[in-house]
Amino acid sequence: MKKSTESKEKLIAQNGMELGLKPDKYEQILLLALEQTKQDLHLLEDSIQKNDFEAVSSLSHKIKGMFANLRVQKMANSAQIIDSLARECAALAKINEAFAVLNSEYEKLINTFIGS
Amino acid sequence: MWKILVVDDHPGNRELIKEMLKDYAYCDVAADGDEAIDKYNLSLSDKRYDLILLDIAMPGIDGLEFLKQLREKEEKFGIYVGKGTPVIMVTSYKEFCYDAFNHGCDDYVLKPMVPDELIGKIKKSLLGKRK
Repeated sequence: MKKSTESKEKLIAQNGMELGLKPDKYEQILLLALEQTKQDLHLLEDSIQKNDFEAVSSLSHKIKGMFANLRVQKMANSAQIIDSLARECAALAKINEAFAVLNSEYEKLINTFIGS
Repeated sequence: MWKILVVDDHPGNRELIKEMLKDYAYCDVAADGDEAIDKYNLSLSDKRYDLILLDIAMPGIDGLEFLKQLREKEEKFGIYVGKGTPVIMVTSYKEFCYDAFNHGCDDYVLKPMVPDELIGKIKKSLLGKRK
């Protein structure tokens, strides 16, 4: 638990500083992003099941942009992979695999910032 | 303080930009092109926006369509290329750069945003316009 709190404080302080934001403001914006992403992940999962590549690309691109802005690189990279796969109209299994990774990164952030 | 309209479909990005610019501008926000058109029209009878920061990929009217409509409207009022409200695209899509300039944007910022770059481009657009 202590380690988790330390990594949370470190991430908030480092990323906040890079963006010129106070830690509490950075955390507030990150929580807002996580809340919006909860909805976007549901929509993304639906779009994947419907093979709607355009929607998959658009939603994963939106998630990538937000987390890249917040310097949460693992989330941004995972979303970028889905965007690229959707643009190539890749096999559903590959996109599902990448979606599982993105979901797992999201859960880690939720556990770190909100608690399970 | 400048008055800036921030148009982005992600609430996190809207808040992030507002916070980055808090020492320079009062920021109004819109979640898509439709809301941006409403806010722009409302501003015409009040204090106009000094500048618009515009995302491209949004539901409904997207950034490029909003920009096209804005420039057409300005032209109807006799405001020609380079004299209208400055618009800076803020997007992670590199591929729309040509289209955006073709539609009349003044500058282009790629996400992930870097605060100094964003503020620098805003200053360049606004201070350049006053000359």
